Formats: sequence, structure tokens, C-alpha cells
Amino acid sequence: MILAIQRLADALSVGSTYALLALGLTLVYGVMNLINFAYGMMLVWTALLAVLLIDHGIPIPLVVFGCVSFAILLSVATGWIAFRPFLTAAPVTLLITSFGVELVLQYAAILAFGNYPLVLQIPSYLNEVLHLGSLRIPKVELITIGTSVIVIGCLWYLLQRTSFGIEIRATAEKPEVARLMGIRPSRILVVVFAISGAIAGIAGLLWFAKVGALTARSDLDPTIKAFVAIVLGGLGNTRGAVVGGLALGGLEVLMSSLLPDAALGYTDAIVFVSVIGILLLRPGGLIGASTRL
Amino acid sequence: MGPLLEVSNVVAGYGRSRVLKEFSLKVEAGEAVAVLGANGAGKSTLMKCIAGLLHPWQGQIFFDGQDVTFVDVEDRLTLGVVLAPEGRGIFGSLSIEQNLLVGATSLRRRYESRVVRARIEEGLEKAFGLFEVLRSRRDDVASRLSGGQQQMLAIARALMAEPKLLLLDEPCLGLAPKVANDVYAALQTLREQGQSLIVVEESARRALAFADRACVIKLGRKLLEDRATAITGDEQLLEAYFGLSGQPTT
Repeated sequence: MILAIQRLADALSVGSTYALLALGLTLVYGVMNLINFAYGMMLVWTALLAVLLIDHGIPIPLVVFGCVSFAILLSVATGWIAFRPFLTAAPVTLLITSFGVELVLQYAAILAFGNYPLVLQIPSYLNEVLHLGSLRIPKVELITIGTSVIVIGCLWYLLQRTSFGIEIRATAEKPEVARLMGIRPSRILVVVFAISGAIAGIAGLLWFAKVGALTARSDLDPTIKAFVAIVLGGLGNTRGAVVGGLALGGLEVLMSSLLPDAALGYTDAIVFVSVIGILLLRPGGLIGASTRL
Repeated sequence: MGPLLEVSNVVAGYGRSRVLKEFSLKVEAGEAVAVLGANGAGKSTLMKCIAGLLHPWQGQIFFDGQDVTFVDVEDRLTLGVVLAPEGRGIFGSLSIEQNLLVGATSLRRRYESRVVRARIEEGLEKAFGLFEVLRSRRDDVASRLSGGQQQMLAIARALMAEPKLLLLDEPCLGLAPKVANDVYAALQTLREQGQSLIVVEESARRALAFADRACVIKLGRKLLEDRATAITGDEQLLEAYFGLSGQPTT
């Protein structure tokens, strides 16, 4: 019983990180059909900046504020400079562009920070483990779950209840008609990349705080996890991203507790094969693919 | 005072294909004009040019005495040219009220922010007054509406932008005759309130009974233009128009 609760907490923590990652990616996909492979680099740059700031003794709340602001700026800048000229281009053009952006950001990071692992030193009070009876829950896990719930809640409110959100959803569903109603596509692009950047910044801090170290090339893992989560949940909608992220986290934790030790090194491969199996049964993903933010 | 809209010798198309060929049209304030033509005649292209979605290759478009030929769609909305597009273009994932609010987007550029809220409330009231069915379902998701209700929503949404000239691209496409009559009844009410409008139709009967004036467009050129009542009894039109569409549906 205790073990089951322990696993559930693990699954929620991993899954909610994936859900966050997936939300940031699916928002941009929903509005401009762009699968942004440069997304992982937003996380890496945020975490690299965090390493720098923490090493200079900046207090954690300021680090978080600075890093998330930076991620928003970086995301809007890439959206404006690299993707806005291709607003009406074919999705493949956008995809290839995103590979280019990924490389530029990666080599810029290597130039600035070098090509070796850096340690993200989080303060020791965040590394504590809470003991509830025989249940052991790391504080980082609780912070991850709590932050994800808050971010997902804020995003839901923004998309469902504010005029900004309604404009974003209208644009995602029918860009041509949205334009006909006077919604400027470039304004929506800025707003969406800003939100995506904020989510990437938060997710990046949570992700690398848990991993503990990173290099300029650490972007692939989070990008792939986010991508798998949105495909698993249903491409192009926010509910799908959350469900897909939680399901992927659940699958991972389930596999790592069921698999024999010898197979643990292959957890990712086995998880992805299960995802393929699920997609064969439900080709649209768990929620079903449709552009509904 | 000059006409509200003047389309003068407009040539337009997509890529290399010329769709509109030196097309001209005038609409006076308060007038209802029907543009009739078969599928592919250039009706929607004309609407896109007037709305600013498509810039003409040649010719000019004047609105309210101002040259708007190269004014883009957002600024043309602000001037009061509003298109309810073919196929309705309803945002199915938004509620009915949210659809209407999206329609009011351009008001924020037109009025000071403290006035906008009141204008929106007024617009909602007018839209719900015209289509009572939308009022009772204002919080429903728009995809649940029937085809006719969606068309009513599309018209109501266009009205939210406070059009001086309302463009309706095939408002009865795919609707049952009875529902189409309801749509035209609402358009009649708007007309009586002084709304200037252009309605594009493939099926002539209802539009001719409704409009002040009509023109027939064939292969991108204006075939004829006259008072709607005159055209209704015109053999030339019936020949040209139904000969092309192949279906005498009157």
C-alpha cells in the first residue's frame, strides 16, 4: 500500500513535468502547426542561466524570476525572428526551420558555457526528503507537482476565460477567419511564444533541478518526452497534452517498478514501444487529435 | 455624396489564374445588392477583394470616398467593411458568446477602451434581438448548433464589428429551404434598419426577391446589372445564369 502511494507520487511528479513540457509545445503547434524542435533549447538555456546565477549567489526567488523572464524573451525572439516570416508556410518548412534554430541556440550555448557538464546546485533545503510514516517524498517532487498544478490552472484560465485566450483559441481553430475578425496573427504569435517560453522556463528549472546536471546538448531528452506526450495524448489540444504527459509519466514509473533489474537500462525503449502500441489501438491519441486549445 | 463602395475595373486572382476580369460595382448607402453567379464565377474572389483578404492586380476599390485598394483586412474592418465568409467559419470550440466576442475584436481599435465594453454589450443585445435562439444558448459550444443556427451566429458575429457594409458570402449554402427563408427574414430586418449589404448567391430566387439591385457574374466578368425586380423577369438572365449552372431550380 505504502509502495503504491510512493509510486503514485513518483508518477505524478514525472508526469506533471511531462504535462508542462507538452503544454508549451502543443500551444505553439496548435496555433501555427509548428513542431518546435528548438523547444528543448529553451529549457537548456534557462537552466544554464540558473547555473550561472546560483553560482553568483543570487537568491533562489530572483533566480526563478530572472530565468523565466529570460525564457519568455528568448522564446518570443525566436518566434519573431525565425518563425514569423514563415507564418503561412508549409508545416515542413517550419519543422526544418526549428531544427536550424535548435542548432543555433545549441552552438551559442556551447560558445558561452563550454561543452562539458555543469552542475545545477539547488539549495540543500530543497533537496530534503519528507518522511510521512514510511512514505518518503522528496521536496522537489512536491514542488514539481504543486507548480505544475498552478501553471496548468493559470493556463486553463487564460485560454478559457480571457479575451486573449479566446483570440488564441479562435486563431488555432480557423486562422483565416480569425484574421477576418481583426485578430492580427503576429500579435497572437508573440503571445503564444511568450506563454510557451514561460512554461519552458519553469519546466526547465524543474527538470534540471531533478536531473542535477546538464550540458549544452541536454535538450533532446525533454524535447522528445514532450513530443511523445503530445502525440500520446492527442496532437494539438491542451487536454491531450496534460493527459499524455501524465500517462507517459505513469508508464515510465510503472515500467521501472515492474521490469527486472537487467532490463532497467531499456526503460525508455520499452516505454516508447508501449506508446506505439497505444497509438496502434487509438491512432488519434488518448484524447483524440484535433486543434482545440 | 458618392457611393458607399465603388469597385472599379478590378482584376484579381490566385497565382497565375485570373479570376476577376475588370469587374466594377457600386453600392449606395442603405442598399442591398445581390451578386449572382455559378460556382467558380468569381463571387468569393470579389468578396475577398472587397474585404481586403486579397489585393487586386489592377483596378481600385473605394470605400466611403477613401481609396482602400491596398488597405489590409484589419484596417478595412475598422473602416466598417465586414465579411461573413462562405462556409460560416464558426469557431466550434468556442461558446456562442465567445464567437460573438471574437467578432467584436476590431472595436478595440475603433473606440477608446472605456467605450468598447458598452459597444460590445449593445452589439450582443442587437445580435440576440435578431436571433433569439442564440440568446438562450449563449453559453453552449458553437459546434452543437444546427447548420441554420451556425449561419445565424456567423451573421451575428459579423454584426458585432458594427459594419457599414456587410458582405455575406453564400449565407444559405447547405441549408434547408425553410431555414434559408429564416435567414433571409433576418437579413430583411437588418435592411429595414438601414444596413447596407452585398449578398452573394448561387441560387437566385431568394436573393432577387430580397435585393434592391443585382448583378450577374460569369467567368469573372459582369454579365448584367439591373434592379432586382427587373432581372427576375429577364429571360437573358435565366438563360445565362441557369444555362451555366445547369439546374433550373426556380
